[in-house]
Amino acid sequence: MFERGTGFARLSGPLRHRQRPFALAVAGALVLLASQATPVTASHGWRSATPYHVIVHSDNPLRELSRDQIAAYFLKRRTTWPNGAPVDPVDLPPDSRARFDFSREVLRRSPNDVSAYWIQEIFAGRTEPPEVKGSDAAVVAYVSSAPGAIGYVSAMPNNSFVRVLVLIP
Amino acid sequence: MTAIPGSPHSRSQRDGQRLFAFLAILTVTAISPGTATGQTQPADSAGSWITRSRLVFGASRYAQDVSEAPASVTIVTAEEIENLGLRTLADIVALGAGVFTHYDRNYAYATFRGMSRQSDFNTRILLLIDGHRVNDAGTDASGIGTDALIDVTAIERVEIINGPGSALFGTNAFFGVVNVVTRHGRSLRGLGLRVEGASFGVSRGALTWGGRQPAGAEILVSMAAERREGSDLYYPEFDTSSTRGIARGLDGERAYRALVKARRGDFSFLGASSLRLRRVPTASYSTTFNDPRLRNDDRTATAVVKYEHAFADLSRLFVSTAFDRYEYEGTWPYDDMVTRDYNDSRAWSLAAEYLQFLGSGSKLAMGGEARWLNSGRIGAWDETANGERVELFSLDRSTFTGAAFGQLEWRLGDHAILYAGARHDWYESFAGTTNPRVALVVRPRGGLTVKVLHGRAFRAPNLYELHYEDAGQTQKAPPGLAPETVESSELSLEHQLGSRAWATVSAYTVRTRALINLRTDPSDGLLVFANEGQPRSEGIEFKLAGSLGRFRVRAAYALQQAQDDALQTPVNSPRHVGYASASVPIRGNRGTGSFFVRHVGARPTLDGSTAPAYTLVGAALLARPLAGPLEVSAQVLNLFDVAYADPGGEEHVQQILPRDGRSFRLGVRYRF
Repeated sequence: MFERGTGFARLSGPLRHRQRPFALAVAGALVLLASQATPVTASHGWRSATPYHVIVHSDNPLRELSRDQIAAYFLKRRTTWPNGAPVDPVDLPPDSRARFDFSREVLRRSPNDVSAYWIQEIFAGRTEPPEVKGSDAAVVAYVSSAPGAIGYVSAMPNNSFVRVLVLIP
Repeated sequence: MTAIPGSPHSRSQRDGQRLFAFLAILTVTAISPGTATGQTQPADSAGSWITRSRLVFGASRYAQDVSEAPASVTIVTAEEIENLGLRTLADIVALGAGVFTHYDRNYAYATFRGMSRQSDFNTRILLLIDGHRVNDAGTDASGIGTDALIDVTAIERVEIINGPGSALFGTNAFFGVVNVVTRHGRSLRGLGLRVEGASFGVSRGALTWGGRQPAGAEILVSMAAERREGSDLYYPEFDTSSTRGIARGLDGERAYRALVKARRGDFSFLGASSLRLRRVPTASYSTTFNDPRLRNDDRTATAVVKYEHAFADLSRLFVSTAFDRYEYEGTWPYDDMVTRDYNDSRAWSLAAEYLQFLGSGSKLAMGGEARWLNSGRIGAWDETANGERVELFSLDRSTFTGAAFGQLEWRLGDHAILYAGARHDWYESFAGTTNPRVALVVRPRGGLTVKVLHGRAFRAPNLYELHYEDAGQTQKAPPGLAPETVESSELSLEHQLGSRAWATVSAYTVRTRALINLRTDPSDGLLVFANEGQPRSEGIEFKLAGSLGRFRVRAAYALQQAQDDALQTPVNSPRHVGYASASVPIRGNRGTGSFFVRHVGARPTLDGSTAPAYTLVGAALLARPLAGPLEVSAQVLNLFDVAYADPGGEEHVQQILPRDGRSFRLGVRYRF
């Protein structure tokens, strides 16, 4: 299922540096512990420390969304915006740090759990996972050109056609 | 070529010459060393993080990647079915590692890992349609030949899972599990029509329609019909002055299949029905040779309603209820009478499963099943020459079975998964049975997967084995039967080659206990079923599947050694089983050319002689000559016209039953 050179770890965290497995295992464990220890419901610290920024097209009238609302859009449990327009979520690659944190803090599940969720959905022929874009720039480029799109990036975007949503707890 | 008596070769040679020339011309002109990439499904493209062609359901009762699954799995996709021209479920199942099929000109049988049980009607394989059990509730039989419930045109993928599966699915998941996944309505996008003609007077037609409605509902309708005229077959065992050993025009059959599948939101429905009407040329069960009255008719129907809901925490609930019916009618002509027998079973079932995510990918699946065979009728009677009807036996039983199961998929860090599961089944005929399975899946480094698997499975005695008796003439009912059991251990290593190919080697042992065999009771000379057999098997399997460059390849080889109670190789158990195929795209993505070869080693027959080893070569072409909605398919099977045969069963006088010689197919498909 996963590309060559990956183990199960690929879904477990931002383990890009696979050449040093032991160090990474320790680092990954620490990251995992840290992410689990951080109370994601602590809204002030959570928002200021967030390593990702959720973006929509600038035509989208929304200014803020809760994590549950964002999760519903990304898991395709809700497929239309309040105005009835279709939602078009886009994702970052599975090995990206931002995706790991986004999964943990917004979707509130481990990337492995989210992956397993999509596998069930695909197999049942119900829904398809969000399209994956290769980088922040690709996500920004897509969202800036698609009025219904929603994505997230690791760095604050500099594009007048996208808006960063305020995340409400 | 050595001619095996009865092999209908000469007829195929002439009627296939033009087809062969056509195939050769198309192959030579169409396949080019271009840069076509072939057909791939969207989510399999580069950058995708889930490879849907690698998903399997039947290994854990939920979908997962093959590499993570606690079993040895072969996946055959619709694309491969199309490319290779596979026309029956038996053709597809035979692509499994260590699996081969044989055919007695009535039913097709699959043998996993050398554990052949002649004429067992595939009762030791569990056949699932979209995860729903379709083995006959009364006799456990499952049809994979022309009597199969689902037409290949309606199949999205087939999962062939080696080894015991009772820890999840209960009875019949003995030597293997086959899960047929039907197409989704939206994958068809309109109407498709297929017509095909082939050697031996075979014609097929199929119509599929599917799509997704604006409201979100999906629907799929599939109808298929098949006819075979067959050929005259020569059997030297019946070479008398009256018949000269030729069964004239008795190899014919007709088969019809229909499928309706619909889904809206969390609810889905699957309804399927099949009817197969077959003449039998082999004069099995000591019937009169060359008698056109000898025929077997099989009807199967199933209706399944499913509810599948994902909760906000991603956990998932599966609930399904189903009605299944299987009917068989046989007419067996003898010199002075005709024996008729029947089997008619109707069963209701209910299943529920809850899949809980435990964090970091660990999962807990638990559920239960209940099945009520509310009418299991089996019977037989004789019709004498003067029209008198003499009952031989009849029974009508209803039985209830229940089961509870659970499986934990526990992620041990980033590189290992431990599976532990068990299922308990309650039966009225015996108290019950618990069957566990444990597995450890480790990925020590990128691309390498190691699996250690151990599991136990059972098959409950069926209605026929428990109750058949003919008033003391030849057979009596046993005082009781225990379930037969099998235990299997396996070590498997899988390595990913490139981005889209996988090589696997597996070593296994299979040990059965208390197999249910028909034997003669020395006290009264009557036949009676008893738990007494314990054949075993060991082997090693090699498998390669995926894309290597421009080629879509599949190869499997098994070296296996099975032994029966007398430490002899069981009937129909070969030491070597191999298969290889390669498909290459045609210039401009206008189709695919494929070649395939199959080898099955020598197999003992019932009288201790040998059915010789055989190697078959074939080729298939799938072309879109106008790059439009029209597709042309052409295949040649048994290209070198090899004479080969399968061992006969106890019901046959023949020790070997010859198979078809070279044959050709030509078909067109149009998508409106």
